[in-house]
Amino acid sequence: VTIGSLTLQELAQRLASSGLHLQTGQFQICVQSSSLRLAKSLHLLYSDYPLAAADGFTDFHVNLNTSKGLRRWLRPQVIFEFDGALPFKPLPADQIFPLMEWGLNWCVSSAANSFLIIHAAVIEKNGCAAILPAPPGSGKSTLCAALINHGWRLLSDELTLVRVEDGQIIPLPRPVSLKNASIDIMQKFIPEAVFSPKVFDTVKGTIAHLKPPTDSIKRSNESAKPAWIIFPKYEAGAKTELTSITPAQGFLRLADNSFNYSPLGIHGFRAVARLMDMCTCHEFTYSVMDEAIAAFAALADDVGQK
Amino acid sequence: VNFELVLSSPLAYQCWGEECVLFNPESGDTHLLAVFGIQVLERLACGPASIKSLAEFFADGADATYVWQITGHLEHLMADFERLALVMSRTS
Repeated sequence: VTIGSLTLQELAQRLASSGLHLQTGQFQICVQSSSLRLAKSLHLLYSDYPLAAADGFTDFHVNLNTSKGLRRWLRPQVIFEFDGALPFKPLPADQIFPLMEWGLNWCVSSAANSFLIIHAAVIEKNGCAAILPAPPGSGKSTLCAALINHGWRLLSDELTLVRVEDGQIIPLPRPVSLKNASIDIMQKFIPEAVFSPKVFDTVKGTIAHLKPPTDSIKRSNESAKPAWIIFPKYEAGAKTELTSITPAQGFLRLADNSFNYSPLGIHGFRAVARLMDMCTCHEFTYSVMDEAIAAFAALADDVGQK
Repeated sequence: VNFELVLSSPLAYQCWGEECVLFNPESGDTHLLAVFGIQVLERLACGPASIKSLAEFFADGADATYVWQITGHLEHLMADFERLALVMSRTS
């Protein structure tokens, strides 16, 4: 049973009372909030996610409610609460959905230490995963959004979970966060996709979220074998170019993009070393999205033919 | 001056071709090294050694010019390793 089976009213009611229990990838989450804005966003972007049993084990209990006092009426703010802790400053109430997404990312990246967690998008085709680690502003999410609407499965837009024991990638498909100019570009490029309304003036600028493809959510239990580590970079006017880098250089850059490489100690080192043995490493520059999609298709086809 | 390995043995490293990465469990740091650097650290894992004895070991009977060249290289390498807290020097 998916969230889409609930009417908006039922979802809002459940969200405001004991909380909405849902499954995202390996994690069961309970979100509680009296915000109708959040209910609408969840109804729009999370409709394909399975509902989880309210009496089952829950990995993360989060609450997003407006702050009390005068502020509630003057300039309402929303507070993210995780198991009683307040890891973030309150944000304007219209930022409630981005705050939930950032908060859930924080929950996973600070608690799921049985995985090597990399700040990277990860997508899969023909059974092979491409990990796309990159700093903000590199066009990682824009590229990811285009690829998952052109034959690639979304494993995650933000957090790549690598199982330490065997190097397999564990899916965590959640809405893709697009920023600033890339929102309009992607709305034109994939007009059939579902986007949230824009949220303005966040710490990251204007934000909109893209609903993940239904198939990616249905296949949330299917892990994937990593095959490529690709550091993408959007550069206006740049030609599409995939350049190999050495595994040792790839190792250091990947470790730099990991949330928990150091806390994992020797296990983190071995997990990254295994990834380097399983993958080829590349830098990828692009400016024309159709060419980028073709370059990735060629990579996947190459593996498919082998 | 003898150089002694600070890292515990066995060393945690992996090489691909001429490039290697080495993990220091004490600091949590990872270093990019050439294969020769790893070979030197492996040699030090057998026991403390001076630059002269390391140079003789790696020169493996080659002529004096090569020993002189490798000595210079080892001096730089040991200075780097000491800075990275991978080895420490002791005056005997």
